[in-house]
Amino acid sequence: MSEEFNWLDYAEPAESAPEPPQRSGRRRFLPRLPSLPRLPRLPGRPIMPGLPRLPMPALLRRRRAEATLEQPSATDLLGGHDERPLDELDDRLLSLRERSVASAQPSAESRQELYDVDDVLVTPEILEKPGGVISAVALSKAQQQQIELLRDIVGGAPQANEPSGRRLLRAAPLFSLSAVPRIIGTGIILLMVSLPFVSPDFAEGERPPSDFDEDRHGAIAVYNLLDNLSTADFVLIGFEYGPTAAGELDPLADLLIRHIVAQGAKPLIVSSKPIAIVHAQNIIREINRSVASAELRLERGSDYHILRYLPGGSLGLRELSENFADVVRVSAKGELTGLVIKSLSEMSLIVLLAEYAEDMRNWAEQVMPEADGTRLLAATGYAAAPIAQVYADAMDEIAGLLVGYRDVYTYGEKLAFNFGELPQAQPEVAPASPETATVPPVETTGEQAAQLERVLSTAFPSPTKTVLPTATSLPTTTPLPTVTSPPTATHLPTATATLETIRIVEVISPQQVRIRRGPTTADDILQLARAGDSFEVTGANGDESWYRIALSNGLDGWIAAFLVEERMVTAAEFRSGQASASANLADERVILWLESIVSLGKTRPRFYQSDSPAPGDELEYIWMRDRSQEAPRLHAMTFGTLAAILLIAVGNVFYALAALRRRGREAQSE
Amino acid sequence: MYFMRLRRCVGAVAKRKASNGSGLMAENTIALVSFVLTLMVFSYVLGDLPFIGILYRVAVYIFVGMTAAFTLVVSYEGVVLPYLQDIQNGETSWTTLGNSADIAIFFTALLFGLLLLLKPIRSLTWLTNSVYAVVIVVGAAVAVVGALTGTLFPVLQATVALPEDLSTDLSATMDTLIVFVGTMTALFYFHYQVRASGDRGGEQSPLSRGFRHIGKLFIVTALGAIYASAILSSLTILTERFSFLFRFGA
Repeated sequence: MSEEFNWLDYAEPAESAPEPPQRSGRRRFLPRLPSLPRLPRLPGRPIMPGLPRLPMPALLRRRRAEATLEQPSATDLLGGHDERPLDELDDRLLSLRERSVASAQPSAESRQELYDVDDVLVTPEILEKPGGVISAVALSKAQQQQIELLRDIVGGAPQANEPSGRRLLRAAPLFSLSAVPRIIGTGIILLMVSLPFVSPDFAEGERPPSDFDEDRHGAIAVYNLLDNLSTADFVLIGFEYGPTAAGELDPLADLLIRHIVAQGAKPLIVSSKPIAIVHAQNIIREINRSVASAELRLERGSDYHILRYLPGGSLGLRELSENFADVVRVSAKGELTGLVIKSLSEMSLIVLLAEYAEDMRNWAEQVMPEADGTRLLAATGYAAAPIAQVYADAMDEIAGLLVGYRDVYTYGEKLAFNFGELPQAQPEVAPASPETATVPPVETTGEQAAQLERVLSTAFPSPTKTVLPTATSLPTTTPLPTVTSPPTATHLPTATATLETIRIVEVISPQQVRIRRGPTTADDILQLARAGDSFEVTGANGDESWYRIALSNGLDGWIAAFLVEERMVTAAEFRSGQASASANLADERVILWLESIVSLGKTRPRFYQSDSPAPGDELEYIWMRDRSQEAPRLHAMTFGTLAAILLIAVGNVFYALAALRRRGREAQSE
Repeated sequence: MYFMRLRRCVGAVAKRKASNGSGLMAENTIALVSFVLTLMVFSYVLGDLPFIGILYRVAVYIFVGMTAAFTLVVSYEGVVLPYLQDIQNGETSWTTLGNSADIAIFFTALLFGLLLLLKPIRSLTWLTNSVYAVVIVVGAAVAVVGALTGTLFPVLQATVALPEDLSTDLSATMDTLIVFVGTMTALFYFHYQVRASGDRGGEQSPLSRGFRHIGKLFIVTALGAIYASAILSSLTILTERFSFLFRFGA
């Protein structure tokens, strides 16, 4: 290696017919097949017999010709170039240079370790022995182990009576001290993340808001577009993630599929990843397992379709966009779907569940240019979000973007609020037999009764007069907390007795209004409120443009003054009014529910049915999910983030101290 | 019928019935296997050590093997089987396949698939490589066209798109400005042209070096954001595993 390669004297190989390669290993036992005629060789194409001398590149040929004409060659040009002065180098290059110089000069310790290096490096006498060359060389035990390891790696013949795998395991150290920092760091993260699951006391970190903030246009668009679906709509779902991202994207997929199905639309699931096809089937299976009634379970072929796998990555997606009718014709099981959809533009929406940024890019590049007006909603994990956000901002066809588990929580809250929960049944009401079909009466207002009659007559054209059950389960009014007013808030009296007059506000805005953590629109959203909802006022900001109100969960929230109407009532009136409002709200939800049956029920109503209903049981809908683990997971993410920040900070401090110490030693040595 | 459903739903409803014995046992078995596999993957924290490292490798090999098996099954059921069924049902035959283009596509795909099987035969590898060449070339062409229409043009438009009213929409204007400066200076970071001659020959101009530094800042910030996002993704997945483990333990 020390001898410099003289390319000027390099003799190029003469072109000759290649020799047939020698067979080795197990191949030599295989029968040799008759060789087929080879492709005609392109003119000027060099032939390389094995890996011997290579032809000289054209650049060097020219250089050599120039060199023979006594012109400066490339080597001369490079050799003649002076090094840049040290004062022109920046700090990084100076540091690298100092390190290289330092490493090139062996320290006193290393010289001490290699005091007998000349003795070791003396070329040993190699004798021809049956064991081969290696057995003839006198090597230390460590050197022998390294050679054995090297022989294992390159596939050398194992020694007799000892399998190579065992030898390899024995050579490796049982434990390395370099693993200690990794184990400690991982242990800290695991400990911190596990705390919220162990005890509810570790509930640090605020939960995400109940509604998307105004600046989350994309997330709001996702909800609104899905909420406007109807029974005639088909939604194409690009299911581009597998088990590796299941922990992050499963809740998003579950939520979006439930919302689509609850609207009566039919999801068509497609993927360019075969394992994602299998995983999509698992998601549907989990949804079906989470509901009790067979009526609620989703049936493949009628409620949803999983289309065939799209092989080839971006090629498969291209096929989807250009040959959509053929793709929807066949399911993932190889069965005919019976769908007659000619083009992608007949889809009402496209929903993409993307694990990687590349998935988002492929769909944006290959599918959306052919979508012809159909809009795409994307849901990604945090890792793909930075790139996905760029596409969502840049392309008009991408209407919205959901990111990560925080959006799962907010979306779930918004879904539960807007769909609502149906009123509980009276415990004493026994299930009536189908023949009698009598239902406990309900007291409704005249307007509501007329509306119910109209809806019921549309849904159930039966001569039997039907009335709705009473909504009896009303939220318990909890005592309001004592006001601890901020410095800017105006003190208002606290309701402590039922006869005392209190100040309340009632929502008058026809739209949903947001109750925030503070008196600005920049503050987090705590919950939503509808027209007619009333709250006790516990304070206000300086110009009374925002009211501080007591929420039913014990927290204080702020609501903009122009959205509400203020008045004074007694505490008793306030509580009875809240109860009445809750009852009215329950009735309104029943009306909405019946209307949904009118629109959806012709095909498949998404409500709970049971063969043996029992009093006191809860109603169940397809959009209802088990959310018991959401809060611990969010708190665990907070703790995990804190642990990661802590470890990164400690690691940086450690390496900074090590660098300072190294510089100090270098300065002392100089 | 709908009234019966309505009465059942509103009047009285039932909780989910307990799973039957066999279902519960299968669920517990799956949960136990998941629990063990999770612990096997976590063993990698200790390093790629003898015996302990095997646990992690076995878990990964199981995943890779099952993925390969599912890929085979899904490809066969979703891609190959429909063709075979159509032929068997008479929907795709020599006379009813449709037009000559469909027939050509079908047999070309069949031929390519057969040629791929020749890969182990050394003297016929060039046939397999020809198939690879076609697939790669077509894939590259599709990727280039898609990148132009799906990425470059929209991103370029978004880079230079200004809001309609610059005075009122100050935030959007600043966003566009930052995106523009970031894009241009990041491009400067990958600009290696130097002066050809003169006293400062071989060096970049001070202006160019300044843009390079700014571009480097943007790139470092972007990479940091991506790294932080990856950490958040990992934490989300980790919390899901913990949620599962604690539910299983409970």
